[in-house]
Amino acid sequence: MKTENLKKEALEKLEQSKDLNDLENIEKEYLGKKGKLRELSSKMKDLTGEERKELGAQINEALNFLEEKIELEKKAFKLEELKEKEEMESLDITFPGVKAFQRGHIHPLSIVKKEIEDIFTFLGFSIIQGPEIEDEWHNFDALNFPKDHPAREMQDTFFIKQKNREELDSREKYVLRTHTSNIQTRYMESHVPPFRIVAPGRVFRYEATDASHESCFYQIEGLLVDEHISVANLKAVLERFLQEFFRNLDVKIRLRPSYFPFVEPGFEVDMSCVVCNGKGCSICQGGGWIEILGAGMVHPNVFKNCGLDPQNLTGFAFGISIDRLAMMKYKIDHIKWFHSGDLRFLKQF
Amino acid sequence: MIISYKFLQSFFKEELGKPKELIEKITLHAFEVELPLKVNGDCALEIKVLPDRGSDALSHLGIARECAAILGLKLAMPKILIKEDDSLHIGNFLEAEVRNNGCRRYMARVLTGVEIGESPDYIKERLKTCGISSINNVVDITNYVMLELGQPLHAFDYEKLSENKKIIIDKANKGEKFESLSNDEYILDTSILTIRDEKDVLAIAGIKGGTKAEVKKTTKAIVLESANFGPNLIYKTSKKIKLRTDSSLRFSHDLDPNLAELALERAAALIQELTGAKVLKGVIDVYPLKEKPKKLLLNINYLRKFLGMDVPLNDIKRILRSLEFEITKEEKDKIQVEVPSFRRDISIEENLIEEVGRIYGYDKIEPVFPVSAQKIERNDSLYWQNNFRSVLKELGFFEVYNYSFIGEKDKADFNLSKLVELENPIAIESEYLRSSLIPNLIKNLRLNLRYEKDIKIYEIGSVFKRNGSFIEKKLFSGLIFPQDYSNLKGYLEEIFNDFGIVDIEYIPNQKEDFMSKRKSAIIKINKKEVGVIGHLSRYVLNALNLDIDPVLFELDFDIIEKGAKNENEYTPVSLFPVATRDISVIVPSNTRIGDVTEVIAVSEGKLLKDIELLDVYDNYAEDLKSITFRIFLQAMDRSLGSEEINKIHEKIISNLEQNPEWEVKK
Repeated sequence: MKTENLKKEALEKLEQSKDLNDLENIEKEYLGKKGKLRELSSKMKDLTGEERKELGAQINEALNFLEEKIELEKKAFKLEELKEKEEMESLDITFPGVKAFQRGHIHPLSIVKKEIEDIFTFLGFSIIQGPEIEDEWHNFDALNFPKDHPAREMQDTFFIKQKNREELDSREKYVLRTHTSNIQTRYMESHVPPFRIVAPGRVFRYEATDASHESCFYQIEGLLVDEHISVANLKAVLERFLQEFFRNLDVKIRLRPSYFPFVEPGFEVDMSCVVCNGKGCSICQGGGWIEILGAGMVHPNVFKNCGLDPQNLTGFAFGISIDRLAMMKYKIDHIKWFHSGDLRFLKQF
Repeated sequence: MIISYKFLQSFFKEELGKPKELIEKITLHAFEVELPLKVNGDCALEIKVLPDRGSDALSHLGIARECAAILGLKLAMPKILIKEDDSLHIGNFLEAEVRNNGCRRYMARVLTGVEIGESPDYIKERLKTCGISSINNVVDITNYVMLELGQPLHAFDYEKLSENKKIIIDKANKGEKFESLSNDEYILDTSILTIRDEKDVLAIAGIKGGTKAEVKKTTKAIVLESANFGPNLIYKTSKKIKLRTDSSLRFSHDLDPNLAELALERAAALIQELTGAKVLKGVIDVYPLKEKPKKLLLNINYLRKFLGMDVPLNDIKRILRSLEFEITKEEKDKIQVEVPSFRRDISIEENLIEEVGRIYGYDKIEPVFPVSAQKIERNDSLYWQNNFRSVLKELGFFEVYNYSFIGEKDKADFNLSKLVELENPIAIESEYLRSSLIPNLIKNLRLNLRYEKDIKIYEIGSVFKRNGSFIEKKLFSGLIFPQDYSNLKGYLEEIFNDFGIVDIEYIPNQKEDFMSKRKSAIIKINKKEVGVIGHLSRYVLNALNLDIDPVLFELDFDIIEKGAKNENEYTPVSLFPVATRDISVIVPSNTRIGDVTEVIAVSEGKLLKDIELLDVYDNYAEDLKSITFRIFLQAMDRSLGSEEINKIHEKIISNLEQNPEWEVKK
């Protein structure tokens, strides 16, 4: 049984093979065109039909068997080789990331303003805009500010230079709006209730800059008017807004008495401190509450001034400082940064 | 206003409780209170009385009333006992005449046998807690009663009044001089109300006393004044003469004329008690228009709906009574309420609802979402603004916010006109409202060049002009440095493209403004002028002393917004290969690249997909330039054969060479 012997012999050699090279030699020696197994088949012509058939089958079986074996061995050696190569490789993962291009940045006030607008949109409010130069009627009179209210004076409000200003009617006397509440009066004059709007924008106060005051700052004013709107509604909407903005469903609000000419009653709205959840910490000065915005129920005189009948009409209004929320969100310690135009500040957002 | 805790406690028999807890309650139900300050054995509470409550709450009595309502305590008013001297009637000693209706009530008493000396300790201590220094017993008592009840008082030395002993309340004469108790001199005019005798000014009404009838150690008899002056008059005078006093502060808040009487009696009784003075019989009281209490109707259902809380009727009545309102009538669902005359802030039903709501407790209101079906409008302007910001961020731009103000120098440097001017600028170089965003952007550039190399900034903001009326519009402006015109144009086209704006034209700028006439272009979108792109004029660069030359743009945001579309139409993608050919043309150096591109573009409509500018080489010596383009050809339905491609290439060349000055390199 020569075939069997050759097979055995080849297998023994395979077992002793050390590398791919050995395998190739074995392959050549037994399976090659002039290999030992092929040589066997050359002797077949001397055999009878039956024997020939049998030998042919034996040789084929041995060839297939060895080929398979050699392939397996080859794979094993290749894996071994890859393993060795892999062991040799290395990458310094602490290598600094390369800044391939200059990214752009959106101003933090734009980011925060949009976030506020989005939340109020979810709460069903439309976003309305209005002029920054405003007449005194829409900025003050219609909002129930008495003629001699201190906020109307030059120490508080920017006056636009006009000829014989003092003699003009309040609808012709212009100021830089001191709040976006002017949009409230403009909107109510030209629309039919119910109203559900917020009005973001730049406002102006005659004020020197310190850590939290600016002559230009940003406000969002809200107005919700319908039949039977209540203080309970105001609480729900403002609490929900603050929960969304601070992404904290435990935020609670409380109302304290306050005074603004265009609302009655007026409220100062405090929010439970988001740092300590109302337990008291350095941020809320131990009280657990942070003063966050002003609000109130629309004064009947404001409805009248805007040509609406206050009978069966109630509503609430509120004003939020966008700068203040942005400063809280990003822990910015001085309001001056917003108008600094300093790219070192802006690239952080 | 500072409140002495001990003084406040004197209005109650029961304990007020720990200052810290008291403060919390006052803050939640009435006014904000600062953390208490300990002052030798007493506690100073700084209470921020709301502006509409200045008429009744700028006193210990006012705060005590609030405490009584909040804590459910009974208020104990100070006892007033005066022993009048029946033998001496005031009418024989003093006369008063009110000649101006700025004085709404004038009351006075005369006391004789006054012994000026020190005040007792409790008065001195309470004054000290409230930040007032002790002077002598009479002056201290006037201050003490003001702190106690809120009514400013004044004492004059009776003997120093001119001989007829007549007090006149009248306007000052023009140019009249007055020396105040603090020895400051004022020149008065006819808008200022004074208290005077027949010769001189004794005091500026409601604001400050003078030296003429000053109470001194030697004083034996006094006129004790308790008057009421109109708020506007006092507020205006105080501002005019730049003198704010405890008295002017209170009168500016519209005090109750009925308070004058209580305060006069209280002060007279104290002076008698502490100095042993005789009080002459009777009072002087000029009170032409007597104030009567108002009555208001309160609808209980309205109150409950308005607050969103079912306050029981009994609590409503209890709260109103505790604040000294009277319930004068009760009907089904309605009560009639008489407002005490000191609550001058109460004039409508909603004021009463506030009183009930705050004392009952806003914290008892459970939040309820409003139900209302309403259509919401999308704000397109904001929608586009936000999209703009995203695209600009992708393109590497920083958004800046600048002030709305510019100054005299900006106006001159940028040759700006028709500016809106401020009556009261906050600082120098901020006298005008900006009519362009560029001046402040240039300042940003300058600042940032100190730290950054590559600058790309923009702002979206309102600008203002006066043209008869005031015109306000929204601009979108930006600048880049050191990248050039072609970069900026590329960025703008990316932006326009994102907003579906494809009809864009660049037209030579003929305007005389801050842009260079030679190096800037007017941009039109959809045939409408939208703004400008290019460089600043030499004059401006020179005025700014700017040695770099940034490229900038200023566009009208409102016009862009109107031209913007949300959809870009899809173009089918060809599955066949793109063929390219390069073409170099030599042209005179003043030839515009756009004109050459135009000729190439019209040579082949269907198969020409794109033209890319590869290179421009200037040959200054011969005043020529060589421009190299790459053209991209592609069909939707087949691969283009070289014969077809060559035909197009040749057609382009022959079209270019129709211009005798242009030569195509072969």
